[in-house]
Amino acid sequence: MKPSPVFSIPLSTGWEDTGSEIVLVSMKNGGVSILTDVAARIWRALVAEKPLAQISSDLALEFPESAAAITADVEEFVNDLVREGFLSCGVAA
Amino acid sequence: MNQDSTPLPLEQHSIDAAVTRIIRAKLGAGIPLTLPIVSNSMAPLLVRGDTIEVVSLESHTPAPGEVVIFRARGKFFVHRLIRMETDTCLTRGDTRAAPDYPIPTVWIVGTLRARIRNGERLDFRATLLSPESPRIQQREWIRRLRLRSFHLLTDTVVRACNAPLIRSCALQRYRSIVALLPGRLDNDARYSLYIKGSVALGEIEPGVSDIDPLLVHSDVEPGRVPRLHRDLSAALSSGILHRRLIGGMFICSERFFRFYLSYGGIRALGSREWMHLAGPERRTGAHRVQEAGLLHSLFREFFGSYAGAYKELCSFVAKPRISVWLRLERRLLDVVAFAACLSNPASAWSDYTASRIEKFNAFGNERLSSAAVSLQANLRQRRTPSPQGAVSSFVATSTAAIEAVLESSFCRPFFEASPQVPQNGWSHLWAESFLLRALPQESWQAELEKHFETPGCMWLSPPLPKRLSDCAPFIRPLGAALLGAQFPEHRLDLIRCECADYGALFAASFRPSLSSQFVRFGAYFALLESVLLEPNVDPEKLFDSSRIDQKLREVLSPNLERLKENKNFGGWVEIEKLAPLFLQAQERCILLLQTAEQA
Repeated sequence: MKPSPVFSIPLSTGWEDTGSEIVLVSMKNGGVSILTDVAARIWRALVAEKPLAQISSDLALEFPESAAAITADVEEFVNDLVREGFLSCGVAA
Repeated sequence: MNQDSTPLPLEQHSIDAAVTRIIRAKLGAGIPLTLPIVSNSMAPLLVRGDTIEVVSLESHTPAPGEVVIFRARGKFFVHRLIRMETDTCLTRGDTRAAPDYPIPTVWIVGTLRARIRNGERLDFRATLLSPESPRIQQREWIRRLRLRSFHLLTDTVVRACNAPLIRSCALQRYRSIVALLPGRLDNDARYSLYIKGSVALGEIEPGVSDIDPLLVHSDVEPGRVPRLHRDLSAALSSGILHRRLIGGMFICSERFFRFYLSYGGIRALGSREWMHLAGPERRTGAHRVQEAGLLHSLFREFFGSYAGAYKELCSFVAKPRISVWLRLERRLLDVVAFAACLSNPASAWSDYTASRIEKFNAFGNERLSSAAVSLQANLRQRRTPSPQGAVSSFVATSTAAIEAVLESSFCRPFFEASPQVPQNGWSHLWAESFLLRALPQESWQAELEKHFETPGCMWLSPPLPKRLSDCAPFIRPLGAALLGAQFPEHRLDLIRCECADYGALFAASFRPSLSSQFVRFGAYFALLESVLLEPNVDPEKLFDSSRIDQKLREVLSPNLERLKENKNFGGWVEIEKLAPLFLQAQERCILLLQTAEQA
């Protein structure tokens, strides 16, 4: 069985939830990213340690017309965060 | 580090404030911040390509001489602290002649700890080479010598040119240009060389490292000006000129310069009669840049920054080319990046509706239309929904961009008076022209000279804004100066204020805490129209930012309908009839301002 990835927020990432958006700062390169709307919700879910599958299914309930693409979109988004250093990725034991 | 010419805002944007808080907290926890250096304003201590390590101030108050980092206008500034006051401080880049605008001390996120250059790390705290060391700082006498040399050169150039209209000239690099002028224009032609306010003039303009001169000539024989342009281009490429231009040089006739004075910035006048001679990149015909600017304003707005453009570009094209492009001037890269995004079928933006294409078509510009069609084809491939909200953001942005294009037709009646002047321009210029018409020339000319403290030097428009919402600076110098003339007690705030849009200035006067909210496209129209339409307007409601956008849409919607009926917009807006209304609105604004102050 393929191990599921576990995402965590590294010490080098600072973030603040302003309510309407999430402000991310990477201390590694000063990169700043603003997450709004669905992206902010995904971040909050990640912070709450929800698995990606659950995040995707929650979104699919809200966007049934795009349910097929949501899983891939969420994964792409999370991978972007990992690539930019805002998230780190491990594997569940 | 910043390259903009606009002054820092009085208030920190909410995002910048959040970033500052986050970084301070992290630094306080002992996690250093690493930043790339992207300008040479702190040379030789820090040069482009260096990486710095920032640490917490550790609860000590930074002292003059220390290199501090602060966040403003979406960027990090790494400059030297030169003065501390109670709540504010003054910073300056080592290579700058003048300090930046004062900033609140709380904006400072940390202090410089180390520099990494070519893989070698220099820890300032572990060596005697502290950033405060005179060996690192540019010495004051060198700085003064540079300034003195500049003034001497200025005088020399003015004398050498012996032109009655020349009242100011630029740095040494422009001497050789000026020397080329006699004989290349008609013998009896007059010409003037203007430069925008810059650090070279000892003015406060953070982050600016270039000077863009403007050569204004009297009407000369047809063909002379293109020939002059070719000569100058050839001189640049052949190395005749002692030093290369850093910025760009514009050449125009007095007639067009009068239009500039009346209607705003150079960029509004994308005529073939405007010749743009740049340094590293040379272009003939500013109109091409202007057209590209209109197009890629969409792109820039969406990505929000050149950094975004870099990033997207890297994902679109082969990396070896990137390494070349990254060395080009940002403006060129921006255009290239936009073109790459448009032409690359892998581009993944979608949800660009056909109605917007129609609006582009209605503008009657083939390049806009074809670009919009290409863009639409690309956008259709996008999957939805976008986790990052990219689609909705882009739709909103493109709507604003299109409205900006449509709105520019407000300027058309002005320009139609002279067929030679093209019709693309910004509403801010239109607004600015009202200001100019409302006041006698002597008042704003004197006010400008007083503000810039250099007689004859006009503050020309900055380069194309990075985002549509940044169009406001087009009106900043004149608008702020004029308003400052009317409201001397607010003059300093007005001039400092980044939200230079006329309406935004008034709005900011009411609600300083929201001033950054008003630095947005359309605030001028929204405010004035609101005042016109709602005599009993409640400032609380009026200045609600979301309502401003709604109001703007309401104001523009009937015009959009008329636009569809008439592609040429002829007689669309009768300026002369509107002028009294705007003056009335202006008085209304003043009254509101006074009422708010009394309250």
